[in-house]
Amino acid sequence: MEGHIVRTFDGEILNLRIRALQMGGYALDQVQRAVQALSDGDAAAAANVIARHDLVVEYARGIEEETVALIARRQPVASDLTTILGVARVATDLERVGNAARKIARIAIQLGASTEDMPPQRFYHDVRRMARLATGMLREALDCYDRLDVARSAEVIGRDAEVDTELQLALRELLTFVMEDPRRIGDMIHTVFALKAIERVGDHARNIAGLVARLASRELLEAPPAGVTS
Amino acid sequence: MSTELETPHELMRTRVPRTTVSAAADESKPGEVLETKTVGQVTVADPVMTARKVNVHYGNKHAIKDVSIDIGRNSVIAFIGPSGCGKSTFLRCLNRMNDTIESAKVTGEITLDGGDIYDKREDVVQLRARVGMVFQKPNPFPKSIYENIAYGPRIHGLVANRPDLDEVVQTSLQKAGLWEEVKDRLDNPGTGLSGGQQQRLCIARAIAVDPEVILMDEPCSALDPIATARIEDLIDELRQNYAIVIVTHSMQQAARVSQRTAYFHLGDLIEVGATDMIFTNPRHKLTEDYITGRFG
Repeated sequence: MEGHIVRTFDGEILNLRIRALQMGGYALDQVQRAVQALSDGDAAAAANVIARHDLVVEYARGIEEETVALIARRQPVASDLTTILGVARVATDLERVGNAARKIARIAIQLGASTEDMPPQRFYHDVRRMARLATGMLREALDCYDRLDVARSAEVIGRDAEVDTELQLALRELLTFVMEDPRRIGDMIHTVFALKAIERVGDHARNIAGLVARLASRELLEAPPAGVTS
Repeated sequence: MSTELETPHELMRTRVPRTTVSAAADESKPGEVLETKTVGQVTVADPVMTARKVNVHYGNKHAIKDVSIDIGRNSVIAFIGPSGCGKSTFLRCLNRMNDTIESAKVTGEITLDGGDIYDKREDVVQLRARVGMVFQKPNPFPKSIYENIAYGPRIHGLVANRPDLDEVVQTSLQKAGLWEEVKDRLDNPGTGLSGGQQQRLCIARAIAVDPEVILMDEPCSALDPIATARIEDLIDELRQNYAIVIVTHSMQQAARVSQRTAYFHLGDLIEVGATDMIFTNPRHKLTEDYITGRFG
């Protein structure tokens, strides 16, 4: 679309979108680091993830401030308003992705402290597989958001069901481990929470992908379709 | 981007139809079905005024091109568009103000309560009482506040005696939200009031002859933000009793005061719709480009 008469407004909107994408990259990295820390039983790496969470909060606050300032200063309407509100929604989902990463990191620290010996690696097999799926979804969703690629975003939305199925399978598998070795029940519960947090990352990726279609069709300013959770 | 409009439909976006119906959209529930190039619903149920295929020429200049639109009762419609788009020209057709311009030629049909206002038998003075007008610059008569209001009812023979006239003056000033400020100095000259008060005096003057429609041509462009807010508040109250057509350069004002918005561009009526729809999800690219500040 052609630029605004007030050219600085174009720059402001562009910057806001770029900030959201940068935040997305950072949140994604946080999830990957947290899962790695969990899988390696590396408490230091997990603590690092928690320390780095401040930047997620800072990104979210900065985007919110800039959004409010743009609305107050420019009184955007129509597509401009849609774009700006879209960034705010993406930032909300990304902040929650960041929260999920922090939660996984906390679990990693707890798991490391809970038993003298590390839980067996096969315990984390499902965690890693689910994390690969969910972070893959998030990466794709952000890319779709960047390009406003509606077709591919529909594909991303479809993949959320895969993550849900994986979660069910992982729960079963963990259950069999615990039946073999009931002393592991504490570790298992922590691991289930981690799996659940990863599943939420997939949900937020789905939300962002869902937003792409609504941004492109410009229906964002209406009530969200049924079934979209945040 | 070329601002020359050739085929409005080519520029239309395909959109998923809205499923939610807003309160404002409800006010523009469809009237008759009309073939026009305008995007959106130009007709309303039970209109007070209708315009059909209106064209205006100033000499060789084609200022208004085949414009058809209804004006609904008890609601505010805003005309927006870049300078020279024809919105004021069209507004002035609604009470035959263009008759005063020698080179202007108006064709097409405009009705008020079903009667053709361009009919030869139509009394133009009477018409302008029924379709009142408020201008950009407040233009009180160089007379007292009282006389500014009393003049219309008197020449139109709407009152029988002085007490009746006093009452009309008081209620008109009350409706215009000016009574409390001027009731002790009705004999002072109207021109001695502040700009915002003068504009409300002009609105009171229009109301005094009991119009059905009030046309406002950028009524706030010469006022400060406080006076503007008072006029906007007044417009919202007045719509309980009158149909209001407002031409404004301030899109925020159009969004604030109107229930329907019409977008004009180079003499064409491009899009008409519920105001919340126009400002959130316009269907025509030209409307979108204008309201988002991409040209104008």
